Amino acid sequence: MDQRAKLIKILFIVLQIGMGGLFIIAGTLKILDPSNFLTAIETFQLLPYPLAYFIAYLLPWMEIICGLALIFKKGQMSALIILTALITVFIIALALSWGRGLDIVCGCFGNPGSLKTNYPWLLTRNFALLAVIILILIRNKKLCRR
Amino acid sequence: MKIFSLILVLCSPLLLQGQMQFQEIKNQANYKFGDKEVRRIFKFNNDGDYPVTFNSITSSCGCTTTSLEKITYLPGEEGEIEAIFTIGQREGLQRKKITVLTDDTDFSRYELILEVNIPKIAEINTRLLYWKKDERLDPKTITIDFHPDEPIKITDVKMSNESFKLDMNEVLTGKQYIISVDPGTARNSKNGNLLVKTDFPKDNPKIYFFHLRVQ
Amino acid sequence: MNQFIKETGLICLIALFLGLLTWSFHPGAPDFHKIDLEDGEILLKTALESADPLLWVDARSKDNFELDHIPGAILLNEDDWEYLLAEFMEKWGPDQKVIVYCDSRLCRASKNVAQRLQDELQLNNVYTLHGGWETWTSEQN
Repeated sequence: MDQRAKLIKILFIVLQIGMGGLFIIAGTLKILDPSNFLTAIETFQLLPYPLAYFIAYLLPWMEIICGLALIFKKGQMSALIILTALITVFIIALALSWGRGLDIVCGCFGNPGSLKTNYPWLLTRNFALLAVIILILIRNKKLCRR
Repeated sequence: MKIFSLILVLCSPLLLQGQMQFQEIKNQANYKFGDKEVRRIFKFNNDGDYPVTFNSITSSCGCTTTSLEKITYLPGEEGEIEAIFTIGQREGLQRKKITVLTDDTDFSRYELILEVNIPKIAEINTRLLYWKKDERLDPKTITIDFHPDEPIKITDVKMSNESFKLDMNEVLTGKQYIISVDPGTARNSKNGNLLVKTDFPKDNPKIYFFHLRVQ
Repeated sequence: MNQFIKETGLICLIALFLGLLTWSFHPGAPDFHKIDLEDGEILLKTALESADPLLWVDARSKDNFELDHIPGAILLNEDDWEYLLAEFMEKWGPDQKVIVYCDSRLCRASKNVAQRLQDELQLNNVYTLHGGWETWTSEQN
């Protein structure tokens, strides 16, 4: 294998492990404080309470399991697709909240000029995450075909 | 190999800490009569190994606004969040919570507290004098006790309904006033508004409203 | 495709199971009480079913009040307490249930206003709306 291909291979391994670790940590932090996470979901004011309650317990474990799947390369394609879906949904939730003028920490509405939640940053960061996940997904799909 | 990389990845936050250190989480402000707002600075520095960005800074009340010069701070860099609390006509101990989210981790929050005690200018026993039509229509009293050290004068008293008879006494000079209100003898429903003007604070003297009702 | 469905299903099942364990055993797990009423709070449903006439009090900012408010509500906040209190007292009646609301479950303004009404007017029929304006708008939708 030539140098370039080797480097790309290492890069994607690092990215995949990095993403896996990131989601494991993110999920773990949410599990450590489910009350806080439930409040965070509720501040988006998009879901009825029973659904928000259910997701507060389910979503962190989905992140952890998908993270482990990425690192141990078992069921990684499914994990990547699930993570793609999760990040996409979160981006939509952020965009909707921004459109409604919602400050997602105080749970109160203000006019767009006075909002303190840094939506552009949050959206950029999540789009970047999504891009990396999709790249890994495409790469793995290519390798599967070979 | 895989277990090792898992452990390494999980430990990485411990090796590379990006952390905002706030000098004070709770900031107490002083207040003097007449102040319209209170401003406090919360100083912080990035005590970690990588840049930290503020995701959001919001307060528990629309009466408290915050400002920040920029949102990303490099390791070692210092900064400050200024909190401005507009007092309005609030009284008593005010605790305004300011919630700060950074990108250290997805849900990392700091809760800053701005505390200020706004002493009451006056202790008033009631703002509402109410008589039921079928009860004895005895006079009722409004007692106003002023707290500040300097004497306070009631400069004007306006009654919107002359059928309520008023009698005001300055029981303690500049400190305590008692206003006696006689609803009269007629048992018909009526109401009135009482306005009491003072001379304190000088730049924006307090006005108190009272409501009288026979129903 | 089958493989994907199987794997996704398995991930979801495991997450569900672990989520259930967390709910059962985590010391900090919140209870599923949609209703976690604090002192003096009232549910919208309870308020609307009440036989007493209601006086809605909006403790939000003047701007938000002017954009929209519960029909018949009057504005009373601590930004302009004295003048707004005078208007409140005009509208108040002894047979009314006074219900104060602000933006949502997370804001404190309604509690502060309700407390001041109790302290300054000696009213004892004062409540705060659990969930605030957010509850009202979601009921309307």
